[in-house]
Amino acid sequence: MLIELKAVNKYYQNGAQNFQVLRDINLAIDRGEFLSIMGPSGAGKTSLINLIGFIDRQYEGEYLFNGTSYQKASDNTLARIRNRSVGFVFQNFKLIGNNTILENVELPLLYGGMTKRAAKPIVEQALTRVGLPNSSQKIPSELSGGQQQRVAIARALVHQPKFIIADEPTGALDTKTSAEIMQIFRDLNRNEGTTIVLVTHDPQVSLYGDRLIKILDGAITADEPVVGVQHALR
Amino acid sequence: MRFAEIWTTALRSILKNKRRSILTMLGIIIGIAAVVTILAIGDGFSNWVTKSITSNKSGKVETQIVYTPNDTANTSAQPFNERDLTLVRQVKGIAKVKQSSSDADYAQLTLPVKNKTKSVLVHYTKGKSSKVIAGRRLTAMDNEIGNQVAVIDAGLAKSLFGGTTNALHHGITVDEQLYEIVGVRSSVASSVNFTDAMSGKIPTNITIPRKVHQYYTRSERTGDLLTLSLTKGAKASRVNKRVLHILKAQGSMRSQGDYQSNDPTAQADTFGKVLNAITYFVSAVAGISLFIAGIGVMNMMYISVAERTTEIGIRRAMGARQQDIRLQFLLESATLTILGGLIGYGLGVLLALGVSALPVMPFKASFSFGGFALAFGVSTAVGLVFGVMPANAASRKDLIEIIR
Repeated sequence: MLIELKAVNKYYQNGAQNFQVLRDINLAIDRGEFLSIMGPSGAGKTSLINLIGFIDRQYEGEYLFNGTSYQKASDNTLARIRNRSVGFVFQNFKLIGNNTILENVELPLLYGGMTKRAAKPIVEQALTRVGLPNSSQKIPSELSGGQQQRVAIARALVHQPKFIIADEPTGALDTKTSAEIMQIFRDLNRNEGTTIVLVTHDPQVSLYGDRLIKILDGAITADEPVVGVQHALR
Repeated sequence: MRFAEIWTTALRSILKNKRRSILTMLGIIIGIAAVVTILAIGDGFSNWVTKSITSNKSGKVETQIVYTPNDTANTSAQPFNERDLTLVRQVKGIAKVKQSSSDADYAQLTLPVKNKTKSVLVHYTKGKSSKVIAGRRLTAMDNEIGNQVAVIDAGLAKSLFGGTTNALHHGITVDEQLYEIVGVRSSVASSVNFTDAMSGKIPTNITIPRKVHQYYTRSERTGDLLTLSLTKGAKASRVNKRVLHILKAQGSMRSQGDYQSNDPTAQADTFGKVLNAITYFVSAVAGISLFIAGIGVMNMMYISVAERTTEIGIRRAMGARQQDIRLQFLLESATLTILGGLIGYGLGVLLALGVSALPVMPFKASFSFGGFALAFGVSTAVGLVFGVMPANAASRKDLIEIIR
C-alpha cells in the first residue's frame, strides 16, 4: 500500500470549542489508483489531503506512507518527502505571480537539488505534456485560468512524484475547461500509472476517478468503485 | 535548493520590485558614499602631507630653529655656541642638528613706517618673484646682474606711499641699502596661506634679488639657523616646543634676541586635526544613516514577507525547507544592501574626485582597497543583521495557515 490511514482523528481548537474535523478515518490507497474524494464544503476534505500531503501532522491515529509513519519526523524530513513524493495542484492554481512559468514549474526540481540549467529541458517536457509548449517565458497573468491550471499540473508532475494531490482543480474553471483538465489527469493515470488523489464537491468531476470516496462531517460515508455508465469516460 | 539558485531567486525578486528596492537602498547609498568620500579625502591629505614634509633630500622630517637678534647691529657673537648645540642635541626626538645661515631665503626685518616700526618678511630670491599687480616682477636676470630692485606687497605700498602705483620707482631701505621698487604684488595676509607654505612659497612683504643682498650683508647673520632632523615617529611640533623651551631658558644669546621655530608640519597638523574631526563627524552621521537604512531594510523585508506569504507556502509545499526560505530572504536583504553599498562606493568615489578637483584643494583624493572592503563589509553586515529577523519570520510561517 502506498498510503494507509488507520483510525485517524483530527481536532481543531476554535477558541474554547474543540471541533472534530476528521472522525475515525480508515483509508488505503494503492499505487496507480485514481481516487476521488467528494463531499460538501466543510466536510473535512482539505484537512484529509493536508494530512496525506505531509502539510499537516497534527492528528491522532496512524498514517503510514510506504509503511512508514512521518508523524514525528523533523520539518526537514517532511520537506524532503513533499519534494520527492507529492505533487500538489490547488484550486486557485497557486502560481507565484511575478515569476515566469519556467520559474514556477522548476521549483520542485530546484528544491530537489537540481541546477536551473539541468531543470530547463525537463520543465519544457512537462509543459509540452500538459499542452503548453513554448510558454515557459510567460508570466501567469498572461495565461487563461485553464492554462494556469495546466502549468500547475506540469509543476505537480515535473519531478515524477509518487502521487499527485489535486484539491478542487476545476473549482475556478468553466465546464469545458474542467473537462480538458480532468482529461489530463485521466491520461496521466492511464498512460503513466500516476497515483492521483482528487478532491472535489462536483459529482460530475468525481466520476473521472476509478474509486469514489464520499465524506460528510469528517467521516467517510461511502467508498466504492466508479463503474460502467457512471464513469465519465465509460 | 543550491545556494546559487537561491541567490538567483533573491536577486530576481529584488529586480522585480525596482522602485521599492532603490528607495530602500538610498540610506545605504548615502551612508556608504559619505564614508568613502571622507576616507578618500583623508587618505589623500595624509599622503600629501607625508610627501610634502619629507620631500627634502634625506627623506626625513626636518624642522628649523631661527635666532633673531633684537638689534641687527649687535651680531658679533655666535647665535648658537657649542653648549647650545649640545643642549639641543639632547632633546628627545632629534637625530641630527645642522647649523647654517638663515640668510638663504627669508628674513624678518623691522621697517620704520609712519613713525612706527613694522615687522616685515623679506624674501631673497634667485629667480622670479610671484605675480605683481603693478610694475614688473623680479627676474633671474635681476639677480645675475645685481639690479638693486625690489617688489613689495600692496599693503606695505599703501602704508608707505599711500597707494599701489605711487610706490613704483620709490626707494625702500632693506638692511641699510636702498632698493628701487619696480613692482607691487597683492597684499600679503598676516596669516600665512597654507598651500603656499607647504609648497615652500611664503608670500612676503618685500622681495629682493638674493645676490644683491648677499653682497651687502656678507658678514652678517651667520649660523643663526638650526636644522633639526627628527627621529622616526617624533612630532615636529613637540620637538620644537621642547627645544624653544630649553633655549629660552638656557640659550647663550637669550638676552640679546629671540628664538623662533619654523615647523613645516604645524599647519598640516592643524589641518589634519580639523580633517580628523570632520571624519569622525561624517562617520557618526553615516553610522546613523546606515542604522536607519538598516531599519528601513528590515521594514521592507517584513512587508515583503507579509506580501509573499502565498509564495512562501507554495515553496514550502514544493519541498523548500525552513532554512531554504530563511536563506532566500536573508540573501535578498544582503543583496539589496550590497548593491546599495556598491552604488554608494561608486558615488563616494565620484564625490571625492569632484571635491579634489576643486581649485582650493591642494591634493588629490586617494582610494585604497581598504575603503572598498569597508564599504562592502559594512553594507553586507547591515543586510545580514537587519535581514535576520524578517527571514526567520518568513521561515517560521505555519504551512497549514498559508496554503489554504
